[in-house]
Amino acid sequence: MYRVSTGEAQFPLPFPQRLEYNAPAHGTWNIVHISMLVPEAHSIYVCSDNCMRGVIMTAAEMGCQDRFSCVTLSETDVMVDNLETITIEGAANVIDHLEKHPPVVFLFLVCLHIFVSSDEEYILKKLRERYPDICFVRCYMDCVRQKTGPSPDMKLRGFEYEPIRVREKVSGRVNVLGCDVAYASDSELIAYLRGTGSDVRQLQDCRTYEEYQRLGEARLNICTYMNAQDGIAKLSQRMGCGYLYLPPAVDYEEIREEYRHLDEALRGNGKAKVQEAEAEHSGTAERPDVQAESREQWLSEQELLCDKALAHLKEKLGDISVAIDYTCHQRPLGIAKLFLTHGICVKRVYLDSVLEEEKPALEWLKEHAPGVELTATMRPQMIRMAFPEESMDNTILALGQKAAWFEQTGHFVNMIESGGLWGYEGIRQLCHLCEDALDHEKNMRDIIPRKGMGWPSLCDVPGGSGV
Amino acid sequence: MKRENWKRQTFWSLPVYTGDVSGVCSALYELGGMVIMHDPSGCNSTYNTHDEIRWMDRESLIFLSGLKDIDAITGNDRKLIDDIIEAASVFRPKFIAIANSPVPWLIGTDFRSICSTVQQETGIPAFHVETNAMHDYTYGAGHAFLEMAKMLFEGQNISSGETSECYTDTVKMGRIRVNVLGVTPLDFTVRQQVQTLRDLLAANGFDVVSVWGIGDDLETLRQAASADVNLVVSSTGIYAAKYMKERFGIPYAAGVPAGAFREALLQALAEAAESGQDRIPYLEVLGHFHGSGQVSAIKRTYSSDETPTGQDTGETWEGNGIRTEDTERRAVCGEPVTMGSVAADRAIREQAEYDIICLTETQEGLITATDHCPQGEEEIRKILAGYSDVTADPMLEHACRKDAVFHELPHFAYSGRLYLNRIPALIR
Repeated sequence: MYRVSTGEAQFPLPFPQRLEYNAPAHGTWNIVHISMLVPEAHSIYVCSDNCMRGVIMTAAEMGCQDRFSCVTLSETDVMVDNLETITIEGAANVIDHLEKHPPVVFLFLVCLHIFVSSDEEYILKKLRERYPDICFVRCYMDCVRQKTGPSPDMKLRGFEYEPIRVREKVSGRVNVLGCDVAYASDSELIAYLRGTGSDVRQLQDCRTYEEYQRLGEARLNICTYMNAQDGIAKLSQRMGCGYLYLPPAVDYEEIREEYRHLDEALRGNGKAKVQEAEAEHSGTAERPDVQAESREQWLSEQELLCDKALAHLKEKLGDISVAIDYTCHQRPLGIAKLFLTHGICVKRVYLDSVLEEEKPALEWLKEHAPGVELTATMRPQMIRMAFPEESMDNTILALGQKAAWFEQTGHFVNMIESGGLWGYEGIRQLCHLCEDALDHEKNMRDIIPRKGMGWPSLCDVPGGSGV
Repeated sequence: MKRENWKRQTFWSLPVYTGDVSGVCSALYELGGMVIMHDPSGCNSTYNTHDEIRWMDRESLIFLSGLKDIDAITGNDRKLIDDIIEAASVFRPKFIAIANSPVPWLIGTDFRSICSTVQQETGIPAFHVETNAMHDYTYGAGHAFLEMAKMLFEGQNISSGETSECYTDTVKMGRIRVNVLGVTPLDFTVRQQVQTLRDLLAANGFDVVSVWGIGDDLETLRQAASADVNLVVSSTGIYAAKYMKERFGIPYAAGVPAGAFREALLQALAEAAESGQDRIPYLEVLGHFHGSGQVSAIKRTYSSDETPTGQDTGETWEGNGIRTEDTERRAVCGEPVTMGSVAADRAIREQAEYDIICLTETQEGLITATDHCPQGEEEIRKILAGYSDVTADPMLEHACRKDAVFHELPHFAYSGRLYLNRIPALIR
């Protein structure tokens, strides 16, 4: 089974976990991209060759080879001492050859370290003794545990903040963290926060290690990405500051709820239990673009503007239907519901599991649109040769690279992880991106094989001259 | 642990080659089978990103098992078997191959039994390629071709005597039947080269029976035992070549007909067919320029037994024969058969000495004792420091001496997609 109607879909796994196919759409970030966001940090992977290849070439293709090193593992290493010696001495050999000591080393341990029960504390202790000027952070590329616990990228989204030292809080400082795609200064979330007088920082803004350390001065951490929740909650706890999870909701009522939580957090007395938010942050009514409005009026206006944008998109789409994938936006089912409630035809949603936060949207689809199809992205049947008759479907608009690949269309929204869209403006931007994708066909074969959208891509892709 | 062995496993700025599991997938890609990487998925799923150029145009039945910790801990092989059987029932592949990754290797998964069960329950031939993700692609692809040969030819009763008569007959008729072994996009990235090679062989008195890796299907490979000689064009072909030598008495010659080396290779290939003796003609050419005489006069036959090897003796780089006093030294660096052939071409054209710096794992019989096989970035840099003229993948340029003349030769199995459109066709 690789396709199922929403009416019959099981939560949270609509499809059995069997052999896995890998589509050649690679715009999403992996652990190499994530760790590179920490300025001046150096990553060392201790891993077997074949498992290493993907991360090495990721670093090379993004032009960060000088911040990446590796130590390969052999059969002998496994047998002699549970990988401790090769890990310590290999990492030391790397560090000794670097031009200067980095402030942080992300040391990636792998499945083998887990299975031979490497003494991770001993490894870190020895390295810290030898290089007291370096902050060593234990990270994992332990894919064997990803189906029964947090995935390597979820864990890294916590580890990447471990070097931040607790600092004295700075008045009005708010961090927006978690999403790989930075929010633009005019995005609704950032603009709203700045309208309240907040000084907003994102990890992507940090150009130096010192700037990165200043993230420790925030009074409130806002996480917008599901996979980063645990890590940023722990960071907030360690920093003694407020924490709020505000995902890029696409449901009007949920967005209203998010604004309520945000206001409470900024006031420091709400559900979010912000410990040190300041009284001066309570003046949301002073925000320029809502000055003359009551909160309710402003929210209603925003919703009307979204309705208008969605109606315009519906008209533009005509008979064209939509396919959405989970890499494009963390709320693919939410978008399906939003579109369907505005008369837009949603043909299918590509996903392999349903997030807890998408459960309400799935329930809605089960009741109101049970015919919408859920399609797996990893089931073997998704190999293109299995359905060659379905090629280059120009009657469908794809949201996301995987949807574009499976639908074989150049009319797609090229976006990952919600693309920095947030709130009502996010919905309107999404409509705009959909219309743009309808108007302008993209070179799907050149775009989707490139890794880590937002980073440089220094590679050629298959299909170029002579190959 | 061997003294400071970690230095040979450390790369602070250089990449590692494509690994063994990807090598298996690449070798078997076009043969109509189903290849399973028994792996958690995540690391080795990047095969189709960095180590495979065919995926966008022509996907193959290559899947990951998605191994979970709990299944590894409890030894739940039945899940793997059931999952393979389910997929096999959908696709009905011509064969099923299973490649292994570190965790199943560590816990001693019994792949022989798994394959036997799969074969029994599906009726489809199934075999295991002994990888563990700790080797490079030459090992993985090489063993994939070897296992494929075993699958095709186990049970065939062609004695070396019969084969000998076959090739004698064809040689008398003026045509020599040849298999081309070790052709994957990891070494032959420009696909058109394969046709060029076929045309070249045809124009020089050879009939191509099969090409192992690109272009030919399983049924064509099944004819390989009828060949007179094997042409090994990369080290990934040497394991199958040795198997066919042992089983059918088919001799081999190794090399790529690059530039000025072409004539020497074709001559050696014909001579191997006639004599039954294996030949590594690029070593003969390079040896010639390290000694004396003319290329055309090269007659010495190397068998794999006679050829000194550069296999790992456990020595560190200091014991590897480096000659730092010579400031006009030239080297080619990479996979031995391809780069040995490039070196032979250069040596003939420039009438100069060239050394091979072999960076891949499958070396036995394909290099000489004077060639270098550095391991780890420190050794690679120290060996390269002895050369004033280096031909290698561009990712190695910064590891060379600053005053060295560097000739770029991108190799897909090393730099992946970085220089994909700059990879030249060596066979013209």
